[in-house]
Amino acid sequence: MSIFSVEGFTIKLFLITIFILFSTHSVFASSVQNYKNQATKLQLSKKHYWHLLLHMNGDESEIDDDEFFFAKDGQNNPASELNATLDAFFSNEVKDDNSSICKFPARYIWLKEELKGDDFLTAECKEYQKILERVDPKSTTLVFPAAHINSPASMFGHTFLRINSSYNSKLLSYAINYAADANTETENGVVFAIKGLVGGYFGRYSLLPYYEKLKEYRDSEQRDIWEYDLNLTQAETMQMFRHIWELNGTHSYYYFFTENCSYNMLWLLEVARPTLELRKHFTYQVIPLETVHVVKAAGIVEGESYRPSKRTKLLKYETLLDEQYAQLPIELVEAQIKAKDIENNNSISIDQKRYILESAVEYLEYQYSRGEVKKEDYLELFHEMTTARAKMGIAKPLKIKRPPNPIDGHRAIRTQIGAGVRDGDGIAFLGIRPAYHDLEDSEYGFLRGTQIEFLNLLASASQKEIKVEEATIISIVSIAQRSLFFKNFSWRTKIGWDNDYLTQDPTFGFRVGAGFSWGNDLGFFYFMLDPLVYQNAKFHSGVGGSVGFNIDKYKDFTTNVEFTQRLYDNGDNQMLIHAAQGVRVLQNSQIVLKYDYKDKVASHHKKDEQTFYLMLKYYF
Amino acid sequence: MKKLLVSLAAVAALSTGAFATVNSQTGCGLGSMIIKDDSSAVMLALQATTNGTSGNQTFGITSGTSGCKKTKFVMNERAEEFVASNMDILAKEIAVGHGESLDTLDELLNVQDKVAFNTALQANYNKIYSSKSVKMADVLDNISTTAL
Repeated sequence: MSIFSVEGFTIKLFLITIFILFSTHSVFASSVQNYKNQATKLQLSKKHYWHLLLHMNGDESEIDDDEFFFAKDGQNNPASELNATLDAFFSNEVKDDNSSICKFPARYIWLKEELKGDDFLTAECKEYQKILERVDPKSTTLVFPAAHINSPASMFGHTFLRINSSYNSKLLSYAINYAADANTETENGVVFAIKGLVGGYFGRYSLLPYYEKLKEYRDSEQRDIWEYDLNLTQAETMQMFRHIWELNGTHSYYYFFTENCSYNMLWLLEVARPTLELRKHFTYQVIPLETVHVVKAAGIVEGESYRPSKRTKLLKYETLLDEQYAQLPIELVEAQIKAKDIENNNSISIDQKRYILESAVEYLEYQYSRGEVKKEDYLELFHEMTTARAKMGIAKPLKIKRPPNPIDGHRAIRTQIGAGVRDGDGIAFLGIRPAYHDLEDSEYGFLRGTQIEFLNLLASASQKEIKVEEATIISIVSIAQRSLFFKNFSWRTKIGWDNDYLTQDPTFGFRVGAGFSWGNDLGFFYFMLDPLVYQNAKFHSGVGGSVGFNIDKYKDFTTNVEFTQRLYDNGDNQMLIHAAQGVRVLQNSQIVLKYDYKDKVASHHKKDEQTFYLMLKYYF
Repeated sequence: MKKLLVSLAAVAALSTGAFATVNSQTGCGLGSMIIKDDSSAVMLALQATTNGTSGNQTFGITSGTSGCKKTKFVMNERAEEFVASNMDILAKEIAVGHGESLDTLDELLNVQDKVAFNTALQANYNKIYSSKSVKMADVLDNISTTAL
């Protein structure tokens, strides 16, 4: 057969096609190999930015998801991962949204730049472009929902980032949030908490409109929102967004204490601006508010804003309503009176009518969100009240005074040193506490009446002995003041060693108590009843009744006084008195003058122990 | 290991009880909000350990108007989405005559004279939120006919 015949022509065509395909493949193959060689020469896989993109902590990535890595050993081998990434970018996969190029834009752009990759393959990323247009990244804000009164653990707070767009309205911005993927409706409470602590859940990122986050935190959870505008440029925000896209759908083990919501926001900020070193400040614990302190200390906060929660708004209405009309909003929500009755009542001033109807709507929403009002009733009443209010014209917006910024409150770790007199003898004290805040610490920047302590250790030394005064494992207090709209109860719990038992030695005990509290802007007082149990050689149970008050009107001065009467199972009575006057000297320093009175029993005789002392507290 | 030790130390203080339910209600009308049955304060305390995600929020860009009746008049998608997810707060702010969500709606609708527009909306509140069962499409259509 001659190569000039038809068969010959077909064979030639076939051979030429094979040759072209082969050489294109070799061109790509040699192209990728060139880039890999170049990458090795430049030691790109050792570069800080590559490690940031992979979330490398030392030698291992913190991302526990196979989908995030191209190489089998990608989680522990940045060089292997870099080569595999290049292979993926140059592979013959379909170049659409499912391609590696579209899924990893941050890696793609960085590698292309570092390797001067003019002939890098390209892809059509329609989905990514759509979302990029929607999110329209221009600048970044760090958002901190503050504590919620019924949940002292929420004192630790939460942080997420808001990606600001070209819109004036921040409500239209998108928020990037990291949280544990837990089905809270089916999990048992204890299992849920334990799993959250030990990495039993996967954490995932979510991107959603800021107004949705406000509905969740400000309205449903009654938390004030603090916003910290960061000085990241548009290019840096874009760089961060590209990486956020890479994290879409990935999961990692969620650890409440360390790799939590706030910690992962720090990765994003470091990817935006690699010169930032934020994560290095945290070893054993990452408390969200502490991450805000670190961000501020890095000098990147250029503005601060405050959004009051629904609870804060209702508390403001409580001060604006005339006492004679105070019950009307509640009667409206309970359908005892109608909105028309308010409208047609000529003896009520127009201002008061507005306050009554506005607070009634807020209170209605609050009750509905707690499941206290049925949906049909809610719709009926909501429509009635808003229609009536709309006939009353426009008034000046509610002026809510901005409270102290949590970022100006004391830091998480506390050390204390002091001295005094106990029953005539000199005594010195030394203590440390890793977290977080108690009723005696300056309330500045914290939610009133809340306490959460983890490992509060205090030791004393006198001529007689050196002893443990306190070794609290955990203590939680939530003293919520009752008011017109809020009928909360107060509660507290403590477990650990203290010297409040009848003996002279530190004793291990547990107590849980409930009660009520009322207050005004001067301060608050409370009554609590605490069943308790102590354990030394035997178990000793009892119950304590406490009455106490705090004066906190002047931000730098805190007064605490508590009287407790206890009755034990063996019939013994015990009185305990505690008083403290604190002065906030600086953001992170406080001086406290204290007095303790404790009834003790020594060889069947009652004796009392009185201590006067001065403590210096320092936080960091 | 370090994580485990630190966590175990905290487990000591936990207590039992039925878990607080968080119902997430979606919809295009009024009353679509997260209902939190906070009958147990301790459960709220425990919830803070994970900041659990409510529902299947991932990278939810397109949401909000799926399943909602469409408006009769031409309306931009973002305005529809915004109104559908903010029915209650918009009603409140229109009734009062000012507010951030209302300003946001003004921006989405390219309103030039916001003060005049918001005053007109308040005056026509009962034509816009004409009944307790209004949906997003009704509200926007009503705004289109009365104020735009």
